[in-house]
This record gives sequence, C-alpha cells and structure tokens, in this order.
Amino acid sequence: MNKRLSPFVLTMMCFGFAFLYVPIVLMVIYSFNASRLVTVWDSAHSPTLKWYAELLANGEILDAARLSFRVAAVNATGSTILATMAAFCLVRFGNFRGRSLFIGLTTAPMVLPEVITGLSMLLLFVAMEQTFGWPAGRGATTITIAHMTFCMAYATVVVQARLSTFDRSLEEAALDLGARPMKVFLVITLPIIAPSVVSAWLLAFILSWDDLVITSFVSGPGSTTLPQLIFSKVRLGVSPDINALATLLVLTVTVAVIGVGLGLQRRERRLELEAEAAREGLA
Amino acid sequence: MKTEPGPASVPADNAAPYVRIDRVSKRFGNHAAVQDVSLDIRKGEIFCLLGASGCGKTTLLRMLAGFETPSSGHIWIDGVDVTNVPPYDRPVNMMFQSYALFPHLTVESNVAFGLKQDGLPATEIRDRVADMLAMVELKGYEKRKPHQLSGGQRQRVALARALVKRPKLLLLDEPLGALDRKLRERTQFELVSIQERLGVTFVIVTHDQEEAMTLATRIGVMCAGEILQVAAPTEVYEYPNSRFVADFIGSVNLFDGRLIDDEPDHVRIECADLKHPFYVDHGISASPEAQVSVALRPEKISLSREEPPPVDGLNPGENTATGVVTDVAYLGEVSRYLVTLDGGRRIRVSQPNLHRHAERITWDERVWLSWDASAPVVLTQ
Amino acid sequence: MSTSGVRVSWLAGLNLGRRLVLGVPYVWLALFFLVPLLIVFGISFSTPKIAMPPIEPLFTYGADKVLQFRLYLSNYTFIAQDSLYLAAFANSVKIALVSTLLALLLGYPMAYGIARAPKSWRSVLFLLVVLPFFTSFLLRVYAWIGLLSRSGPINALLLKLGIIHEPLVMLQTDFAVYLGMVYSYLPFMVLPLYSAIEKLDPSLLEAAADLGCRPTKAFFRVTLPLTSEGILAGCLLVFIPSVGEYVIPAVLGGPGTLMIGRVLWEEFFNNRDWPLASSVAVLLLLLLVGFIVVLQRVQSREAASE
Repeated sequence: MNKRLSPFVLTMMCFGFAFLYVPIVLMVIYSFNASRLVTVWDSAHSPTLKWYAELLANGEILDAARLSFRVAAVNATGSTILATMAAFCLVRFGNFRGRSLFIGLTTAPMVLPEVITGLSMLLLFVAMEQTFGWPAGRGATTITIAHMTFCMAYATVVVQARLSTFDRSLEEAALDLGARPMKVFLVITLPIIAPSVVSAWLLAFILSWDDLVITSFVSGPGSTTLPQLIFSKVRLGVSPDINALATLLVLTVTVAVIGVGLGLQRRERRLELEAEAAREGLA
Repeated sequence: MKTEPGPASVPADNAAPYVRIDRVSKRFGNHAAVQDVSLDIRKGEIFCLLGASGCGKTTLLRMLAGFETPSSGHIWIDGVDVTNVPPYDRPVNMMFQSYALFPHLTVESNVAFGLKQDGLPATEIRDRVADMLAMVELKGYEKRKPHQLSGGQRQRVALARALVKRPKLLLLDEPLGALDRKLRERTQFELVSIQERLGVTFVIVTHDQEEAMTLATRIGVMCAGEILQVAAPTEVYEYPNSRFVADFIGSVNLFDGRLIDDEPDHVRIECADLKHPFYVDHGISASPEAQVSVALRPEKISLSREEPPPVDGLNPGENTATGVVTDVAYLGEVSRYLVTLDGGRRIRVSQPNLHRHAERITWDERVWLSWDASAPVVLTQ
Repeated sequence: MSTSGVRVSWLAGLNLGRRLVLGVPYVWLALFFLVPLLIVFGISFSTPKIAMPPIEPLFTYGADKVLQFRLYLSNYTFIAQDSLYLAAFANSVKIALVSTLLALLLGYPMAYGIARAPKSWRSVLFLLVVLPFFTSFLLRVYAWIGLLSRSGPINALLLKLGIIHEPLVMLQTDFAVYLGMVYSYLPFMVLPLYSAIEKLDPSLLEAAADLGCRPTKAFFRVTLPLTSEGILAGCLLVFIPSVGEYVIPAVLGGPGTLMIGRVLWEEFFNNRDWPLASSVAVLLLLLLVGFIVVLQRVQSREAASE
C-alpha cells in the first residue's frame, strides 16, 4: 500500500493543526507584550513579565483560583466515587430493575445543554432551600453538588470502559484464595482499575475547573470561580493579565498531559520489552 | 490410548467418597446448565470432567468452587455440606483457565495471597511460598510480575498459588488449554507427579480427550448438563456405555442393528450396512430382536488384500466385509483409510505402519476388512 | 459456625452491599438530575412574580383554605407569538448544522491523516488533537478576540499584504461564532473519526485497487461508507453541544447573533423571568430529544435494511 499521504490530506492536516494552535500560541506571545493595547506589539519594552507580576498580586484572581481548585478537587473525588459505583452497577449487576432509567440518568447529563442543567439545578436548590432550609443560599456547596452530577456522567464512561474488559476470574481467584468480597475489591479490583479511576478523577477535575455555565447558575454572590471571573473580564474585552493567566493554565495542562502521555508510552514500551524478553526466555 | 504415566496410586474401588455431589442441578433462567448430577469423587484421585463446550462441566466445577450455588441438590466435601459455603470459606482452591494471576502483584505475592488471607505468620508464609516455588521450579522468579513470565511459567505460578493453601480439593479448569503442544505434553507429566507427591484430590475440567486420558484416574463424560459415564479411561474407551460416549471419545464406526441371536456367551447382530452379521463374544442384557448399536473402533479393524482365514465358531463371512479404498492418509505412526463397503457405507480404518518398506494398501484397491469377536461394543442405549 | 449461618451472612452481606452500591448513585442522580428537570417542567407553567424566588407557585392555598392548582400556559403562548424565540431556535439549529458540517470537512482529512501517519507520529498527533480539550474552553474562545479584532494580527497581515485596505469587521459577527464553534468542537469530531478510520483494514483499499478502483473512487466507495458510524458519532458530539451553546455566541457573536442558549441565559439573568427561561429550556430539551429520536429511527431502519 502507498504509505504516503496525499497532498490534500497533508494540507488539511497542517491547516487543521495551525487552526488549533495558532490562537493559543499568539495568546502566549502576547502575554509578554508590554502594551496594554493587547493586539499591538510594543517592541520597545517587550518581552516583559509585568502582567505575570500583576496577576500574582491580584487577590481577586487568586481567590477565584483557590475556590475553583477546591471545588474541582472535592467534585473530582466525589464524582469519581459515585461514578465507580455507577460503573459497577452497569457492568456487574446484570439486568436489575430500573436499569434503563439508570443508563439514561448516567448518560443524559452529557447530552443535556449546560444552560438547562444549570437552570434545573438552581431551581432545585431554591426549592430545597424553601422546603428544608438547606442549602442556605448558593455557594461552594451548591457548585460542588452541581459539578458532581454532570462530571459523574463522564467519569462513569471512563471507569465503565475499563470494568467491562476486566477479567472477572481475577476476583474469583481472590475469593477462592480466601479473601472476602470487600477485601477483594480493595486489594484486587481497585488496584487493577486504578489507572481508569485516576483518569476519571482528572477528567472530572478538568471539567469542573473549566465550567462556566452551570457554575454561573448555581453560584452565589460570595463565590466566584476562576472561569466566572475570566468571563466577566472577557466581556469587557481583551486584557493582558488574562493572556498571562491563560498562558500559565495552558502551560500547566500541557506539561501535565505530555508528562502523563510520555509516562504511559514509556510504561507500554517497557511492558512490551518485558513480554518479549519472557517469550525469548521460553525459547 | 492409555499411556504412562498413569497415577500409580489408583484408589481401591470401595474407598469412601471424598467429594459427594448429590442430585445437583443448576438453572440459569430457562436454561438448565447442570441437570440432576450425582457423582462421588475419591480421595487422592484425578477426576476429569470431559465434555464439549457448553456441556455444563465448567458450571459443575464452579459449583464445587462456590462461585455458583446449586439450584437444587447438595455438595459434600470430606463429610461437610458445603453447598452454601462461600468460596472464601471452602477448603477448595482453583486453577483458572486464564490462570487469573494478579497482574499488579509479583510471583511471590501471588503465591502468598491465599496464605495472607488466613492470617498466617510471615515466616511461615515465606517458607511455604519458597517451598512451593521450588517445587514448580520457579526459584529466582519471585520478584517478577506475571507479564514478565512465559506461558508455561504462568501456568506453574497459578498451580503453586492454588496448591500452597493445601486444599482438600484442587479444581483445574482446562489446565493445559493455553499451552502449545510440546509444552502440554511435558506439563501433563509434571502435573501428575506433583499430584502424586502431595496426594491432593484433583478435579480437572477439559474438552480435550487426550488430556483427560493421560491425566485421569477416572473420567466423567458430560453432555447437555448430564453425566453419561463415569469410568477409568480404558473403560470409557473400550466399553463406552452409549453412542454419545463412543462417538465422543476417539474415532468410531457406529452401526445400527438388530439382535438376532442372544446367547449367554455370544450374540449376533444383523446390520443393514453389512452383508454378514456381527458376532460378539460376550452376552448382553437386552430383549431378543432389540434394536441396538454396534461401535467398532478404526484400529480394531484389520485390512488385507486377501480373504482372511475363517475363525472357529463363526459362520463364514461373519466379522468381515469387503470394499474399496476411497481415501488414504499417511500420518507416520499409523495410516488412516476410508473404505467404501459394497453396500455403500463408508468405514474408517486405521493401521499401524509396522514395516518401513511394506507395500501399503492404496487408493482404489479392493480390500477385506476383518475384526476380532471381542472388538465390537454393543450399545443398548 | 453453622452452614446456614454462613449462608445468611454471605448472601445477605452481598445483597446489602449491592443495594448500597446501586442505591447511592441512583438516588444522587434522581435527586440532582431527574427531580430538577421535573421542577423545570413544572415551573415552565408558572408566571413570574416579584419575590424570591420570582415565581408564582403552582399550588396555593386560597382564602377558603382549599388547595388550588393553577397552570399558566402564558409562557408557551408568548414564545409561540414572539418571532424572536422561533428565530433563535431556527438560528441555533442552522449555526449548529453549519458548524458540524465545517468541522466534518476539516476533521475528516485530519483524522485520516493521523490514522494513516507513520506509527511513531500517530500518538504525538493524537495527543495534539486531545490537548486543546484539556485547556480551558473559555480561554480558547477568548484567544480569538485578539486575533479577530480590528487591530489584531489577521487584519494587520491582510492589510500588509494589500489584500484589503480597510480592517475587516470580524468580531461580533456570525462568522466569528462559526469560527469559534468549529475551533472549540473540532477535537470532538476528530476523535471518533480517527478511531473509525484506524480500525479500517488497509487491505480493503488494496483489494479495491487490485480490483481496478482508483484511489478517489475507492475512498468514496470503501472508506467513507465503512467509517459512517464514526462520522455520525462525530457529528452528534459537535451538533448537540453547539445547539445549546452559550459562551461562544456571548463572547464572539454580536448582539444580533440569536442562539437559544443565549436567550435562555438572558431571560434568566437579565430579565429574571424564571418561568419563561424554564419554558425555553423545556422546548430546547424537546428539540434535542426529537432530534435524537429521529436519528435513532433512521439508524435502526438502516440497520434493518442491511
């Protein structure tokens, strides 16, 4: 087969990747621009780190980032636990009563427009407050509950995919060797599906960290997350400290994703080499 | 077929049952996987459950392990009713078809897993794991992970892990299924010698009759959730009790016939496919004129170009037939022939290749088939 | 320990655990997902009131202490009569459809290129497609503001090349919204396409070539039909979030860029008309459900005809 790609495909690929990355790269470059007019490059005083300095001195942004981080971490932990349970039900419990409704409930949050999710959550919280007096007002708690609900759907998909290929004889072997069901889960199942649970946690963290629409509905006056703060600034136009913030966030995520990616690749290669060595040892 | 090594210590027939399966059935929805199976397994024997996939042998094994609860019936092990005992409380261990080695644990931790669940002291665990690894010749592999082992090594880790708890009963699900042919043969012998050394009772599930014949003290042939015959390998082969067993174990020619002469010391059976009746040198219990089947193994038939000499007590032509060779396959140790009889029926015959330079019978030759009066097996069911 | 005692603890314990594992996520989703949707549905039949919450309750005790249940259809009749809402729905579907098509046209060759690239390159390119997904959605949309602005790099470049003499107005137009949509959701298009194309056995194309089919024709006759599931998945992943999108039209669109998500947002936040916002939500939900149902019908009919 002709292994070379056609010029058309190559052109489209170059264009596509440029399309994906040029805006981000420009944003990073402009974060070092001295001019307050974001789009005009002030070559006399650039590059400069002054926007980064301003950013780190901005208490409002730091507070918002702290809140976002806290919500994202709690949400990721909670939704991963719920998702692992849900994935177990879907993969292991066979055809239990109410299964189709359960499937619907675990997938629908991914399809539902965020504006509807946000609106419905808010209306629930208001109704609950009126009826039970809890949650009193809106804030970090309501944001976390809302995030857990929609992040759980995504996390369930990740864990479910791993569980459905899980070799159940491993658990049976552990039972057979005398471990009780709970112990089997803790020492056999969980360690083996751990990579998918970690992925689910990271995904839930990022989705929560990034969410604007649902948060806007269910947050209160005292709780502004980072995306909310960015959004309020963005609506006023481009500002250089947002460029700096964007650069920091993009950099962090890029390093993390590339790190994880390389780690996985190394691990895979090591496993391959070892398996090969085992085969040769046999021969 | 039955070759060495057979287990040397074949228990006496009157030994008390060690494992008793009493009228056990298992249904999954409308499907009956195991139907009313009763079976006694003796202490120290290697019992093979043999059957095609889906015959219920694995379900039966899983009920012995405790992964499935019988829909009805009881299971006793060493005098204790374990029917509803969970797998982690049974004195039974299992070697899984996939080996089910814990991928995140080392060889050592895999083998130690069961002992740790029993809360044994660390020194004892260490010693027993070391002994077991030495026995399966895996010394030096303690710190490896399962993916760093070859297929044969994994199989031995799985065996060590299942044996280290000194179970009363070891269940093996297709123990050699994942190995290639050469390794299988070697491992069969190892398995038998380990079993003899430890004296543990083995129950093996397999679909491979050769494996069952080599390993088993006794074989239970299963079909559609029922056990059809339980007997030693030679008996299952030489004296199958039904058409299914005769056909399932090895290769066989089956004839439908009618009992025409029923004496205590011999019978004659008339068969539409043959010109002359079968003469069988033992009596059977069946009503006169009964419809029966006759099983004749290919290797019990001899092939010649000349008419075989008459045999005392037999009428002329009995236990012989004539036909034309339709197909020949030279397999080295034996040659397999397909002979079309004059009546049109095709018969499988296999002949040992005793002489290197012999002029072998070949395609389109006219041949005589003959067999001993002891060769045909009469099947009444 | 007696055998029967063991039986009780083993099976009952397992059943209790099972109930707990199923019950917790089930109750959570019912309470925080299903009930809220029902509340939205209920409130869509209410009318606004100056209070907190700004809703006329559906159930009231009248002066005669009789529980009264009142449904207002006014929201729905209002939406039906005001052309703004209909236009917003139509425009949302149009923008989502066009964006999906554009993403497919760009995404397919990209996915094809990645799937057929040398093995060592493949994982790097794949990572490059996934990476933007992990970086802030809002900031990626924001990045276009600078690019598209009057004095931004695109206008500067075009002016310098002499292609235009006046800076183009790109920001706050529908064009910017399309751009933002395709840009944001392109990875969702590429991923399912990639996995569909990668699964495709290359020997099928060799067989087609061997039987005298030219490459372009082979693409339309073999590759495209065999990756139709990936195409469908990609289109759904782009279309569905696009229809209800709020951020992109709010950041890149002009005041005239009507999209239903934005209308809902403004009814809720700016006009504080919660019942009307709920009615819009119910209609948007019906639109999506209807769309998915139709799609499934078509799919099952196709599956049946095969």
